[in-house]
Amino acid sequence: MSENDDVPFERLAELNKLIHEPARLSILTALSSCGRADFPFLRRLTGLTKGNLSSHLSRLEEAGLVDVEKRFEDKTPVTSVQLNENGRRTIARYWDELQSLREQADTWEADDADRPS
Amino acid sequence: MIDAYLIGTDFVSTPMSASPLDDSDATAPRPPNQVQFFTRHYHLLKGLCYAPVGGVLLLGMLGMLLVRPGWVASSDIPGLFALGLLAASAPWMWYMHRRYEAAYGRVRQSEGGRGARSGLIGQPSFSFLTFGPLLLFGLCWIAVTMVYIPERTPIQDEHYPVIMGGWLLFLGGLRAPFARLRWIYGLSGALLFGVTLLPLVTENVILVQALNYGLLGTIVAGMGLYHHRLLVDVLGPLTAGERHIR
Repeated sequence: MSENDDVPFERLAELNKLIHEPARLSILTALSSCGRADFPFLRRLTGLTKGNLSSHLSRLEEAGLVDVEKRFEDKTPVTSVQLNENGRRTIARYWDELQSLREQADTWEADDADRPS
Repeated sequence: MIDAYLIGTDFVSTPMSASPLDDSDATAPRPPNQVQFFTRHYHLLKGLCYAPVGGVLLLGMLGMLLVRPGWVASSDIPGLFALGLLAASAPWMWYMHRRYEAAYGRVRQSEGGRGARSGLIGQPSFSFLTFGPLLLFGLCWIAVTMVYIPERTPIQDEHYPVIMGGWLLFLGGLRAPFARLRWIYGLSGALLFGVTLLPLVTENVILVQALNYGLLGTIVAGMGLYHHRLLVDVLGPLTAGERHIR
């Protein structure tokens, strides 16, 4: 059976799980829509707690998708986050894969799965 | 399952969390289309920066109508008043911009749209097939309001600010990811489009000028308040003091 003949829903398992997680997907979507965003903006936008957002950002940073910058402004610590080139490529590829899955799912019929190849 | 990540959710179907500032209130992540829209248009959504400008323009036109109707009839004064108001409001805009950033944090747009994806799955795309007729429509509109009307009617004002406002709203209506926003932008743009054609119906200069600039002020104020409300619904109240490290 060729790849295109697969049941599309089974291909969901092949998606990048680091990105497919809804909270991280929200973070990456936000960062892919801008150049750089501060931590409070991401926290309010995603609705995540500080701890959760911090944890997700750490995972994304470890995976080499985002760059985190910490600095002081008027003696106040500020953290801002930016998607790096690898992150931009990865999220773009993820959306392309999801789009392809959607197109397959639109044309797929349940009977296709039972049909002998 | 795929649908959980797809687009088409509206504000109505996905109510925003009530208190994003509350740490204990962990909510489900927002749909990607909402996340993208609020990030990409964050600066435009800072509605209190420009809502007062629209309000003052409306009040100014009403004041002129009552005190000096001759000024309203002028082909220059209402337009210059609108542009002057925009320039004079720069300090206010800067102040409100700082307040928004103190409350919600800073967002810098990517340089030259680098890496910015045009749309998520299912979002309305802005192809040449859309852009072509839109450009033709825009050129026809400009020809009527800037050439035909000044030559054939006593109205000499070309209503640049009104045309610019209407054009921006039309474009916004095409690109907005939510049905409600598309309707609001589209209807507001249609109102501004219609009001610039008023000289084809009546030659009452005072009525035409008052309606054009009054409507522009109303829509700018209304859109500003609406945008601010959207931002507050999603990001929480406009209170300063959260510039946290992790």
